[in-house]
Amino acid sequence: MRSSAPALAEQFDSFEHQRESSVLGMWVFLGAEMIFFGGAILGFVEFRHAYVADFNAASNHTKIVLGTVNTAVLLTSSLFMALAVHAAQEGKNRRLLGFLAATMLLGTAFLAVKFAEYYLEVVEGLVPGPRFRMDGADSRHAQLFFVCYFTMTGVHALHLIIGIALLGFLGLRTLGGKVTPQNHNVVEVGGLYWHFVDIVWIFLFPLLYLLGRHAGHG
Amino acid sequence: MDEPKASVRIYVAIYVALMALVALTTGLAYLDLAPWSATVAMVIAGAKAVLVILYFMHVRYGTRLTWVFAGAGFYFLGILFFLTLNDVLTRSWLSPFLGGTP
Amino acid sequence: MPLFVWSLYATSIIQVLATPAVTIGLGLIGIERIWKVGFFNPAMGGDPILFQHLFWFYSHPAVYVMILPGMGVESELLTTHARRRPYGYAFIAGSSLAIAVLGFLVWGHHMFVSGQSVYASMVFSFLSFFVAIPSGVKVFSWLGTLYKGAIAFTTPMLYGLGFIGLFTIGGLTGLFLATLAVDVHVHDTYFVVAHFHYIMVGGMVMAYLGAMHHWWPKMTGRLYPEGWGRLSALIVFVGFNLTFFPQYVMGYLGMTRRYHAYAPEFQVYHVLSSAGASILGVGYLLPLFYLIWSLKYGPKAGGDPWGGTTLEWKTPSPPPTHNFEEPPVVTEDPYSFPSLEEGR
Repeated sequence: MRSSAPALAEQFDSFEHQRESSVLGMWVFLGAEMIFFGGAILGFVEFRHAYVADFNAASNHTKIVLGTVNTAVLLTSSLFMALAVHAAQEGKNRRLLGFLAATMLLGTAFLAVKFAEYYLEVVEGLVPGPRFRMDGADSRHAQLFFVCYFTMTGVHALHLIIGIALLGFLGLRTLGGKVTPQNHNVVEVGGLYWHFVDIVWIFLFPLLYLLGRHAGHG
Repeated sequence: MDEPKASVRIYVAIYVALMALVALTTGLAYLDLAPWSATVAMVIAGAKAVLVILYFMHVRYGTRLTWVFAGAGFYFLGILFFLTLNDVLTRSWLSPFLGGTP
Repeated sequence: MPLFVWSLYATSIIQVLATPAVTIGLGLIGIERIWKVGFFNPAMGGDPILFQHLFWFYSHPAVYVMILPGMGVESELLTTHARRRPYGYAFIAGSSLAIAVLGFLVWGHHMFVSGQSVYASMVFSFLSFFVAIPSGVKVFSWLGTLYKGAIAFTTPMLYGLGFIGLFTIGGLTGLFLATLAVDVHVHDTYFVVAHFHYIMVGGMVMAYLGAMHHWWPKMTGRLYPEGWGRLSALIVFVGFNLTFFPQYVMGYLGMTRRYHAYAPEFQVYHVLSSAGASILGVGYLLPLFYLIWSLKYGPKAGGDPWGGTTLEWKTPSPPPTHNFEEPPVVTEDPYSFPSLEEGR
């Protein structure tokens, strides 16, 4: 396309048709992602059922304050993302850019907190392997908890990094004049991806940080 | 040309609700709600997810087809969970009819 | 829409939703091996059956991915070469979607002897019987399509006829395998091998060869030599049955899968099977030669050598760029063959 504003692609009847198709396409991808994360969560659920006491004990070693803060950070980033899409719909591209930047900033903040948690966990000897040490539970099962923890939060963090890069790309497209109220599909679809990553964390947080918390304060 | 799906006010209201649910779920984690603590946590998480999906992801304002596409992933995820746990939780059953260990 | 298109939609639903399960399964196994941790390792508290659940959650729907396009092709072959509307169009289309959905509910039938709970095995066995129903609907619909049709025994029709019979046998033996008690006996034997080859080769490969011949004139603009085509179809059919039917027998008698050394009583079946495989190989090689031959020496095909009614036959062979000189306007349903009675 030579013009800077996106045109209606020839296979669509209208802009609304094009928009809905983009949204459906992203939902197809998100459906696949649900199964992907779901498989990992399924493993965690199975093991927690088998080793409840050990998993509860291990869960108390996650950093609940940092985890709760991160949950709030990610939910706030989702708000900004929704407001970004809203701004795109109204054609307010400067505001859109501001909200995209805010979303990316909060996403980065999440990652910073996450890596701080990882650092603490390494120092405390909670990384599964020969250097693992944790009292009060069967070592094999506690290590299994942390295998699940590092895998699930690690894959989630990877998706978040990709999300931040994606939003950066959206920002560049906006600056290039390719986002209009008629066709802001990229922003809407990027928003769907971002909200999905948020929803994954909404489930990971209680599973990894909260269950078993009452048994002992971490 | 489509109009904005939801107003800024609605987004902020949903956000406040989400924050409240975070506070609730973290607070409840310190109470001994056994055997319901996992269920409570998951129900609250589910509520948060539903709010994000319906409002932030605009599914509430979407077409029927959008609902089908969005729901399909959950449906098949549910099958993966349900039938796998169907196996995992009944491993100790000696007989499909008796259940339990001797 | 043509029924082939319906089958492709159903296939894509399965591909999108099933694949991530094996993706995460492979990812977790990679993590397990690289970092020496234990998701699936019982010595470290893990569960090997969890891997199997994640693997088969994909791999069972995957076999429906493999057969659904063939079933779609079958509908096109039989309608065109018998000049009949499909019997029960809605049922054939709906059964494609039903296979896509139901196919996700049955994966545990690959795990009956793995250590999965008996209760879960019973549930999976029960559900596995259901998934056979839409396939049965299709087979009956295809038979209904042929009934009172002007059947031309062209190469595509011969492959199409072979498909119906061989797929039915394969599907039937799938029900035997779904029966929990029987499966304990024949699991991991050649009975299973025979079952899936009847579906994959007797079904899918026949559909593939039928499709190749059916659309060869359209794709290349040349007609292949019909006599050689029919001969090859016959050779494939004979070779296939000689290869795989003995495998049912020896599997039932106890010949295990993946063993290179076996008891002498199975020798005769292996010989028959290998002989059949040689014949089958000839049947595969012949089309390779005559199809390539036809590219240069085959008579030119027109736009519609079979008298088909779907859109592809309304454009020259091979089609121009973008398929049509002008976008076609569709005015009638895809199977508007003249019929003997009203309402069909």
